[in-house]
Amino acid sequence: MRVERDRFSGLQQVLHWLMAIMVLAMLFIGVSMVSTLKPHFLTLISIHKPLGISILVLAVLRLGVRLAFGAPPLPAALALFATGLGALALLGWRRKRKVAAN
Amino acid sequence: MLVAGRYPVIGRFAIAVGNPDAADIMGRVKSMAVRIVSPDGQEWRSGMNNSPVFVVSNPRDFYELTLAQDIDPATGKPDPRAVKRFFATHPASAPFAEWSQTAPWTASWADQPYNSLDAFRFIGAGGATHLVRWSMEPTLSPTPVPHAALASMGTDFLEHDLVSRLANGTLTWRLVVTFAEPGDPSNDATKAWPSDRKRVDVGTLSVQKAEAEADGPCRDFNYDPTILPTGIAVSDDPLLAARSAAYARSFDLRTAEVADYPYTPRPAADRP
Repeated sequence: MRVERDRFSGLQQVLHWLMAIMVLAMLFIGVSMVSTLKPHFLTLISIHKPLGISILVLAVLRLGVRLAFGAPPLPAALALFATGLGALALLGWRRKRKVAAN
Repeated sequence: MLVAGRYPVIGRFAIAVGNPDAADIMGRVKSMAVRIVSPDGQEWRSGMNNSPVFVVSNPRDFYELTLAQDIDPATGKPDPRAVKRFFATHPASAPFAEWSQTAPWTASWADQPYNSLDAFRFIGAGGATHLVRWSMEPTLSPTPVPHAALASMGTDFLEHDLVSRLANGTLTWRLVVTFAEPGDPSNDATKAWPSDRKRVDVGTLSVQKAEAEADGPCRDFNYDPTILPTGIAVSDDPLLAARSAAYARSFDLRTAEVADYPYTPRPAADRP
């Protein structure tokens, strides 16, 4: 099944963009959720939890698809954007650690 | 969830005071929290207070009250004028203030009622919804104690009272659900509903055993009032979301300090 290709498969592209939307939504929902006491807190958390689990399930699926289909070679330089997203995702965790340390 | 049956309950008795060293008997507001679990994994968590109404109706007023009760660095105590000023400028808090000033003090958690304060919705099997509040009504009648006598009763009086009562048998409360009528406020916990509202006795809480908080099973639960089984839902009471958010934050802070928590209770003198 693994073949040399210069593009990701259609399934991989769909998964990628679907997850991109979900992860971005997750970050904004997460940030607004922890900064409000208003009734929409309950709505946000009721989206945040199943959305997070769905992202986990899709990530596992994505790994499987990657193993099955392989991937084109990496570009010469890894986009800075990806590093930035990773850093944003870590912010919540670091904030918690800081609170614990104080 | 609300089908007749017996369900295990873990709960917590507490006083509504921010100071961890406060004498429990001096807590004006006593509270009971419960976590009722059904065999299919549904949970009903409820944090209830012995006051008939809550002190404020929304998180902003709660914030202002908390600021008013802040410790004055000059005296080491809250400024009584700031608290007076809060109640003078927040007339909605008057019913709570009246209860606080006139209700008899007692020296036990066992003889107090515990009220949900916030309103919830019960949803029938056919989909009909009812606005409700609920209470744990004690089966013991309250024994009033003069306020002046409380200060000399020791820092853990309520805790010792609970343990010694349970050594002599089970303590019980009746779970009573009050149904609103059209016009009763769903979003204002400072207002009691009229006393003639339909009240239904739906069950009995039997408290059989007490364990110390430090390493007991109640410690690592967040008694979030929005964790509800099928058939019960939140109302539009703005305190519910605020409680859920604030309790989650508090839970995070508490569990982040778990390594410093005294798992094995020690006498106060041994603590740093």
